[in-house]
Amino acid sequence: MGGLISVVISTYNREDALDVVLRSLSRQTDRQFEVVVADDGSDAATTRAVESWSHMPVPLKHVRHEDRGFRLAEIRNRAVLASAGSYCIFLDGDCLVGPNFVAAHRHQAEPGYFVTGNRVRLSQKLSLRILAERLEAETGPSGHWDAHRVRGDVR
Amino acid sequence: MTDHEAGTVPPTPHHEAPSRPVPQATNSHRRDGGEHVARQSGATAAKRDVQIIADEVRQRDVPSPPECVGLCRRKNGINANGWFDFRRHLDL
Repeated sequence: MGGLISVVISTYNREDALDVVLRSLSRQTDRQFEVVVADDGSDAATTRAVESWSHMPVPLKHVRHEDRGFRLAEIRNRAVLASAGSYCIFLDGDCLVGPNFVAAHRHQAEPGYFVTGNRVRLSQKLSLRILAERLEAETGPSGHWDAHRVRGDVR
Repeated sequence: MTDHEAGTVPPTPHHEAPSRPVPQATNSHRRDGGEHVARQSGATAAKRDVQIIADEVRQRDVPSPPECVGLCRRKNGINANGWFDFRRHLDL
């Protein structure tokens, strides 16, 4: 599939996780995509976190509405309206992605089909390490995830 | 329902009814944000809430993307072309 892809990230007051997710998206092998942050009314810290990514190598938009309770579906729809891509990938604000994430979706995209993926759950201990030490968990040497799995940090 | 219509709807067997009208989300992104107190505020125009942070593909000195094709090919779920095969990982 050719054309621009829009990656829509939903978030609410998790600026630390969002920063890691944006970092993983800044290192994609496929650069023909944009990022739209669908912000369900987070406070100013999230706005600052998004604005700190003005150097993002792909277009980045921040779509936000007021905090009037859980309105995730509405802000996702607003984000889709603000998107420019012909194909949308929906991602949660605490899911970091591998460097081939967008490329793999582009490869799998077919008209009329919805592609769903799975995710690997990280332990709280490893998650806190990634956030605190800014570990690049999405990349790593061969056997890197196997080692985490053996330690019980991945399931 | 008005008073004279009471009892016109047949009850469900054993009077069972769902305990809540909508299934509770299991993976809400609010789960780690503590108790959320909604507050009232006026509606705002949608376009005012869209901020362009980065507007185009920039030709600047950015780190090259990591090379992981060799690594990925050794992982489960990668097909012969080196792509992750989502169909093998669907939760069906």
